[in-house]
Amino acid sequence: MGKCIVVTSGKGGVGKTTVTVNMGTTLAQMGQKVLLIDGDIGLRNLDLTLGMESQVMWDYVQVIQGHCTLQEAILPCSSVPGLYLLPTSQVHDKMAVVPDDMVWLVDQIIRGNQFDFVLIDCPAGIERGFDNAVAAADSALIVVTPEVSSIRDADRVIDLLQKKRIMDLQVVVNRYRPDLVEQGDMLDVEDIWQILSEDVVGVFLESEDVLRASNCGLPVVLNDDTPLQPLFVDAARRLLGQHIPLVDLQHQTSDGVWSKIVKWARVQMGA
Amino acid sequence: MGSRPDGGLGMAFWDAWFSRKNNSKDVAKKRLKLLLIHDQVDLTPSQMSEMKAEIVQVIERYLSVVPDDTHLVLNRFEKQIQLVGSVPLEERPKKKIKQG
Repeated sequence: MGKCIVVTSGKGGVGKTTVTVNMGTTLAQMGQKVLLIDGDIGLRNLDLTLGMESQVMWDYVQVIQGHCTLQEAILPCSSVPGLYLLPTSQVHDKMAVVPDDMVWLVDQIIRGNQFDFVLIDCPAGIERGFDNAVAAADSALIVVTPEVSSIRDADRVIDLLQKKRIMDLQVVVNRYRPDLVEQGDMLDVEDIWQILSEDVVGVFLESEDVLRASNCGLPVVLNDDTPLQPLFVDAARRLLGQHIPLVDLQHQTSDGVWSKIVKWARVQMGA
Repeated sequence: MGSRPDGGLGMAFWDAWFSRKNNSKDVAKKRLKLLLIHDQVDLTPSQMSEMKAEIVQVIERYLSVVPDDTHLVLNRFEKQIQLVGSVPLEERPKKKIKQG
């Protein structure tokens, strides 16, 4: 039975789409069959991040309205075998779909296509778009950056998800800067974990590689030289239930430990 | 300022800002902890001080308290949010309850 994970944050601009694309890519590279759904009706951009904008013909709003089939709307990603995209509509708005439509859609997907993971890229905010995106999810990845406003919004989203009976919640920390952590100007992973009291399954460094990759329409983890690649591998393994101790992540402020972790992760990957 | 639920935060900010270590993240952490507790409890600052005044009134029926030094704050211990109070009594606290 496939797992449906919504990638959400409350606050905009923290990297939900980047995390969705690269988590999906990494899971696909590990042999999982993964579908990414763009949850942002009216502001389609998951296809751009994957460089697939020219292939989009149909979207799931049309599937829901009966204008095309699910099979017609789901596109395989040419740069990543095992990764698929279900685009959203650029012309409709959030009100075109109700949460029950999304439940029906994901139900059809999971029944018919044997996906191991369905990742839904949630729009920012906590209104109708959020309600639609989380409706079908059985678990959630909450993306935070180490900033007061992002963490506060994440806490609010965690509360809303729990009220919607989504109890399988995990946090990923994005845009992490070990240099700022070291000089005492950025919350570290343990601080965030203490404040949100939810498990942290991934920590992703801030990197210019993300912008370069999105300029080219390629997932950044396809770049073998980026330090993000082993970090996504770790996170994907934790998502698959492998036990990679968080101790490594929680004591990274002391000198040089971070680079040791990165090297260790590279060795684990055989890179 | 004294009766606001976030009383004391200003001090933390200045302490951190002017200390040589200049750990702005400690300020962030303190602000966040308070923010999240108050988000969850969902009491306005005026409701907080109203509650404090009422609690002081109740205690005053039994003991002589120093209302200005009374503090009531929300705190989190692991997942449990607690209301923590400090109610100093006058120098020679006397039981106020009448006999019989």
